[in-house]
Amino acid sequence: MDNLRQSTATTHNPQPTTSHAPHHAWKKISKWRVGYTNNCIDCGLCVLACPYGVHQRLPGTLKMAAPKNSGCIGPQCESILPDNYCVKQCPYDAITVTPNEEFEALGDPRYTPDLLASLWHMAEYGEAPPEHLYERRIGKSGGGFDLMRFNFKRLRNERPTSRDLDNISISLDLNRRAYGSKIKISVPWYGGGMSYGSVSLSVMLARAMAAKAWNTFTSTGEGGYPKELTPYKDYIITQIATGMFGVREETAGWAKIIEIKYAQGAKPGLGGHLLSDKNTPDVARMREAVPYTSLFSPFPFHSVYSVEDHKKHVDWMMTMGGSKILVSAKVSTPTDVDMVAVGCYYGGVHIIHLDGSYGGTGAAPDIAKKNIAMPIEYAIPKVHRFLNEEGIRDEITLIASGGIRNAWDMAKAIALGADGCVIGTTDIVAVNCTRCGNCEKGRGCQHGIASTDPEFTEQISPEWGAQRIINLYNALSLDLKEILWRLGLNSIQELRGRHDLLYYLNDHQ
Amino acid sequence: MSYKRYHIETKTAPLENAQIFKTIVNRADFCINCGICQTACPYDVHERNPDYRSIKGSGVRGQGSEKENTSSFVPHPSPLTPHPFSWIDLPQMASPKNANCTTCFHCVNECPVGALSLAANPDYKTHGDDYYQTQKVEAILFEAKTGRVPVSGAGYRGPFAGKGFDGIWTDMSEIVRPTRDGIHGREWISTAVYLGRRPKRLALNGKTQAAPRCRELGVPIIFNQAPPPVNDPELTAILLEAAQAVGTLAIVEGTSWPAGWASPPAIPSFNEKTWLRAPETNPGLLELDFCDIYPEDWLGLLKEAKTRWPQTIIIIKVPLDPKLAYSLVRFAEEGVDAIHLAATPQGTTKEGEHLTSTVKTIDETLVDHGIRDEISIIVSGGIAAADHLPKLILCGADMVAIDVACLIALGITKFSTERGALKLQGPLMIPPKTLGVQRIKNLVGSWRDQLLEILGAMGMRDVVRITGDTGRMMLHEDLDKEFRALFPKPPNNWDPTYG
Repeated sequence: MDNLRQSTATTHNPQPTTSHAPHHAWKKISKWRVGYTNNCIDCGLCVLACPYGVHQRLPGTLKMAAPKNSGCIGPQCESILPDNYCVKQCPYDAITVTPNEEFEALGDPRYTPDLLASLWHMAEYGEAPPEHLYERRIGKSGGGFDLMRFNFKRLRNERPTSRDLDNISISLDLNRRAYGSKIKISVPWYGGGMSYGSVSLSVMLARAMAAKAWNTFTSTGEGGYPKELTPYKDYIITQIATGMFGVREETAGWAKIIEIKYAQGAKPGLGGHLLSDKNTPDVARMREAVPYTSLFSPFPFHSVYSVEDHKKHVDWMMTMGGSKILVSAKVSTPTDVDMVAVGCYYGGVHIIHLDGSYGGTGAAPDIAKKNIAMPIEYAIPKVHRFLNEEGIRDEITLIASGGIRNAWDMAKAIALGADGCVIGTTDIVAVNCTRCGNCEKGRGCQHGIASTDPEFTEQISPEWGAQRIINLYNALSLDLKEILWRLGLNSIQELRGRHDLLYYLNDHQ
Repeated sequence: MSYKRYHIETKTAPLENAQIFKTIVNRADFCINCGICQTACPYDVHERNPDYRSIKGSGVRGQGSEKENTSSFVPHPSPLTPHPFSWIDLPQMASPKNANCTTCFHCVNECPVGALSLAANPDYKTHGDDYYQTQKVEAILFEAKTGRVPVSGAGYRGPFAGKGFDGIWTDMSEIVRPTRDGIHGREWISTAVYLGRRPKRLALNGKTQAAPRCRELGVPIIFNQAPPPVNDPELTAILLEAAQAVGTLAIVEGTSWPAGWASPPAIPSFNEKTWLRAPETNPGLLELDFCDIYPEDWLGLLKEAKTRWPQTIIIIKVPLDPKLAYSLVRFAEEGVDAIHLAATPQGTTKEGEHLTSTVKTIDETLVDHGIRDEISIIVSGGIAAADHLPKLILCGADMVAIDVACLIALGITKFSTERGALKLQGPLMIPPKTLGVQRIKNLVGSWRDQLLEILGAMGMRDVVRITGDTGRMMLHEDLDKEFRALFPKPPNNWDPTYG
């Protein structure tokens, strides 16, 4: 077992292959709609003008085919590519470009339609969408990450070569302590906890396969360790929370990392709750509970009332998992989050995982999501500074989560002082979550993500899901490398705590 | 005497015309009536209308007349129609039930002819106004309908922060003391509050101490008179009965005070015009509306009221204004039992200062003078969501009085509250009494449960313990100031679209 751990610890920088992974039913909801009026004479000037291939002739004829809306970058084309703007190039004013109503019906201020569409594009093709197509750096929430901008050293029109990007390191050491195995992940993020029951087995498998391909981790969440996941056990974090659902000594022994969930960002201080409808017989068997009853994982740990108790808890995990195991403490972001982090350190954990209040993947009361605990943006620098002042910053890995949507958010979180990030919602958007927010409804998610209903879950096959997530991770890693390159940095470690590289705009800018 | 836990009976109380939906599903004319959308949709947006049949066998939409032929299967005449089901003469698809739509796009994706599309509902934004935003109206309607806590998935989806209430986050406790369970614990979290005067200490000098002039309420929510021009006896009756049912009180126009109530859940309210028509007997509770009187005259009126009704709990209603903080200290010393701070319907002072900061100032002034714990503070105006309740209590209120929220719960969603006045669009339609009472009960039950969530996260078991506990809230203003100091200032010619 130890040999195995050592061997995976030394391999890094894999290059998983990306491949085209479209959704079987999902038609692309384009941002713009392009139309021809009756004035069109099929002259074909627009075909020559458009660099995005929106206008095409029907093969073998002179007639114009239906426009390929998904490539169109909209009226901003006029200022960016004035010589290629079809509406102006058309001699008969026969082309209209209008916003697509359907596109606007998607998303919300945090995950704008643009952000969602760009993540879907990444999951489908494994690379970022063409520049100008979507605003994919930021959302429209009007605060936090959405007001932060990098002060890039390179100019806008400079482009990195693939060798430039290859020379940039984005791998992350998860253990900075003297004890426990040294684990290095190839990308500075790993997957957050989503339990069996809150999401389907296919989604769990897809995430685990993608984690293996990218040499990173995914977390079981608090819902047990389905046996289908055992082939990927070196890439899975076992989460332990108060309900202890499905926690067995053997599964804890498989894990390389055990995550103790003290609180979670979406419902801080409220514990977990699996709604009765989602507790199907399979889920109940895994959790050793009665089917179709609500399962509570009540807050708090009644074995932990102090830092000393927390230390005992960590020791227990280490006894269970062996001396090589890493322990992560997942905590929420109250006012005294800095003190909590220091307490976690003295309890002996390797990783402090801060979960900010705006994140969360499963169902949670709206009042808790919006109002309890502070957003992650404010918590990271607080904790980073406090750990620095305490002189223990370099002995601990600080991981941020809760509203991290893309590579820009990750880079910003790291620049604020985190070492790495945890993503959850981004993973499920990759397997086609539309963020309709009905995770809690009776049978659950109609896309088969946050559901254990067999009829819904068969829409996602683990292989397809894994490919989508692998594609997404590829695009995210390229984006992250490009950000580092534009900042003139060579590794992700150099970015940590560099808030001087960021600007924070005013609300009105 | 048997022990009974405080509990609000909630049950589903749907109101037909109070449905708001964000998106609409459009079915184009070239729909081939195949019914794939019906199987695609898990939430029954698409259903067939059994009374509405296609013209037999044509697949064209139209009103059929041959109801007796419902079981006939007639082959489609046109071989060009692509869909395999089109030879069956099925009832026509009904117009989509937009209220059920969850924007999953399944039907749009699976429609073989592309006849379905989604769009933002143009009607959506017409509910509420820029303060009572449609999302808030939607939440209140859900709460009033079901009595449940609104739950949704996939994280928070609104703006980062805002002014007033939206600039406050409440604290939580990572590990709590052994005696304190969380929200699902065995221990009871109490939401009871006291309205009226409580003596600071017991008198132990041998004299008999007068009974405290205060009343215990099960929840820190009372019902306020709806702002003018709404003055409807049916509404008052609903609020009184709901108040009775949930163990709280309702402020009513004094001249219409129903003397028939044995133990009135009513707080009759009198102003300078109706003052003389106030009852001679002890009404138990009384509100004096000082909003339209000059502050110099308040003290005289208060003294007069004290001599007229010595045993009555006297509440004075004053406009929310931080400048009045010192006058309020004087009133408290002169023996007023409770102060009702009335903000505009948009939750501000007349000068536009926000409720939360003003209540905090007033609370702090009363605390500084050592009198805060003897009286109660009621806050009204602009309370539009469940999270406003714990936030106001943290700022220093004992309880809130809700008004416009009750109207929304009763299905009145088209209004505006600009410039401090409520303007209704269309007539005031109050639902039948039983339904109305249940909806108000549901609203209070849901808000109370949400208050419990906040208290549970803090590890607090008593709502009175968090009154004015500003250390348990985090202000966006403070956090942002500290955060902003981390960053350099961008140069003037810097382009925010790159970076």
